[in-house]
Amino acid sequence: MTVPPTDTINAILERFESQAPATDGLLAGVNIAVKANICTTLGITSAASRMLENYRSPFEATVVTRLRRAGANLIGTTNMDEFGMGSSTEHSAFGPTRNPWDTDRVPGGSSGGSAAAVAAGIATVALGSDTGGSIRQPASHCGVVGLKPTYGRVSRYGLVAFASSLDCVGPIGRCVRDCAQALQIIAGEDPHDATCARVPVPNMINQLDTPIDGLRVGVVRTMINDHNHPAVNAVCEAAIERVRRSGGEVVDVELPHADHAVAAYYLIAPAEASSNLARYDGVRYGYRAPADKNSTLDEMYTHTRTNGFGPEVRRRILLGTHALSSGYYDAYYQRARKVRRLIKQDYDRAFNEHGLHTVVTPVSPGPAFRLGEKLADPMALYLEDQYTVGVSLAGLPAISVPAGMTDDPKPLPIGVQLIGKAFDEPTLLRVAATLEAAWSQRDSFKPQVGMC
Amino acid sequence: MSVTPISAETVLEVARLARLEVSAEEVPDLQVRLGAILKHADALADLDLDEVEPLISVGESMNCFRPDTPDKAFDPETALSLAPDQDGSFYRVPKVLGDGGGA
Repeated sequence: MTVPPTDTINAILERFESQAPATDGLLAGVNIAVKANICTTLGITSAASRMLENYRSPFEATVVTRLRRAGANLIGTTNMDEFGMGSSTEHSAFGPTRNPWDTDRVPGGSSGGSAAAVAAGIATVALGSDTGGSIRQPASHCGVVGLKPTYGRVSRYGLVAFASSLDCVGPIGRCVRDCAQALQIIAGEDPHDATCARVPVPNMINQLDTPIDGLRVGVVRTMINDHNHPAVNAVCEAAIERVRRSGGEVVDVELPHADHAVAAYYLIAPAEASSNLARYDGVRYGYRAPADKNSTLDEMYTHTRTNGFGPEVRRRILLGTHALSSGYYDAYYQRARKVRRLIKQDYDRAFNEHGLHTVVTPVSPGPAFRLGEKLADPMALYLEDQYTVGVSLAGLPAISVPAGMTDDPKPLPIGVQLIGKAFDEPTLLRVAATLEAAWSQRDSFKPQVGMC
Repeated sequence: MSVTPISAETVLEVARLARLEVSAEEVPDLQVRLGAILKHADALADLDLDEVEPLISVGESMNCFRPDTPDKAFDPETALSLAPDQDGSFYRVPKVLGDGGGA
């Protein structure tokens, strides 16, 4: 077993004591880290929040049980934006994670610790969670593969809830095959999660080497535009060309409501978060603010929540509470849910009418940005998610695959997003594996920090 | 209905509803930050949504219930051990009722 290097990038929040190495199972001895919002009984499950700073879960997440049974060596928890709310891992109560390719830059988020840990070779695979892009965007910024499964494919029992109609658990790995193997282990129905679909789990691995001849790949031209960093557009075009050269049939498709995805998402996700995070009241578990003996119960709730949550979480709770409040419900929350249906119908139409197998888009409009760069502008960080949130609203599987680099003196990785049909991860992974193999220069780039 | 950026009064009222404290100094920044996304959401008002059914969740038709049989649960000691304040049998919270009420 390799000893992980010192964590100079703050990717790991807690390192677990080493366990007896397994010799059996698909993941025997594989070093796996889990995002700090996935419950284990090996340490603290903090979700990178002061609210859960000392929280020791009395149970473990189903995904963790399945990884352990497959022989995985769980090495620790990874840093994240508090409760998954952020796209840069700067909103962690325990300090930001740094990008292994350029430590002045963010790793993306919210699963930034997981993506950075894999990129730096600290973990072979790491679990993340994806509510609006939180696996795919950090994977793209860190030059690794990140897979958001279909909504309902993977159990969320033991995942700290953010937005329940959107949250998904998925793997981040160095290559498509590693992600496919991890998904194979964690996927499938779970009696402890009524939202986990009772759908058979197909073989995720046996199509990885199958050529994509004749598969139809949709391209959303409007997403390759002047608002993106030029390298994002160039990488996307190069990836489309590789799909074509590999035998895929490239078809232009339209998603007419895609521009509304950020607005719909940033009403729906905070609304659900404001409801889910109401449980943090300082009574049953987690942090409670110190109080004098004249404090009322209401004052205790308010002080606990005000001191226990970080600024971005407080903002999203306020936004969600507003969107759900009397007089604004129809204008915001209800309207957003209607737009969500239109967004899903766009995808259904694109897949069905064009007979598509997958859609290719950018993951985010630019490469990893500098720490602090987007903190002041309220919309800039939210627009990071413009190509990923629509997929989340539609509940589809999607994967971020490294596909190119910027031409900076310190080159930064850029991924492309492939989107699949619901519960058809094998085809998605097959196209992803083809695209991965077709980028011949991949091995000529290495991160600044890391041992791989 | 057109959407307007959020007033200082609304920020404070929403904070009260959410059991969060917002200081007077924080209000203008919150108006800007929350207002930005609300303004961005203005564009949704231009869509014709009268005939569109809201989509609550893509999994709305799939509730997968397990058989209703007893499963292992936490014992009271485990559950209480997680609490910030408890007396061995109950969670302890600040006083809820007043003194002179004689409930």
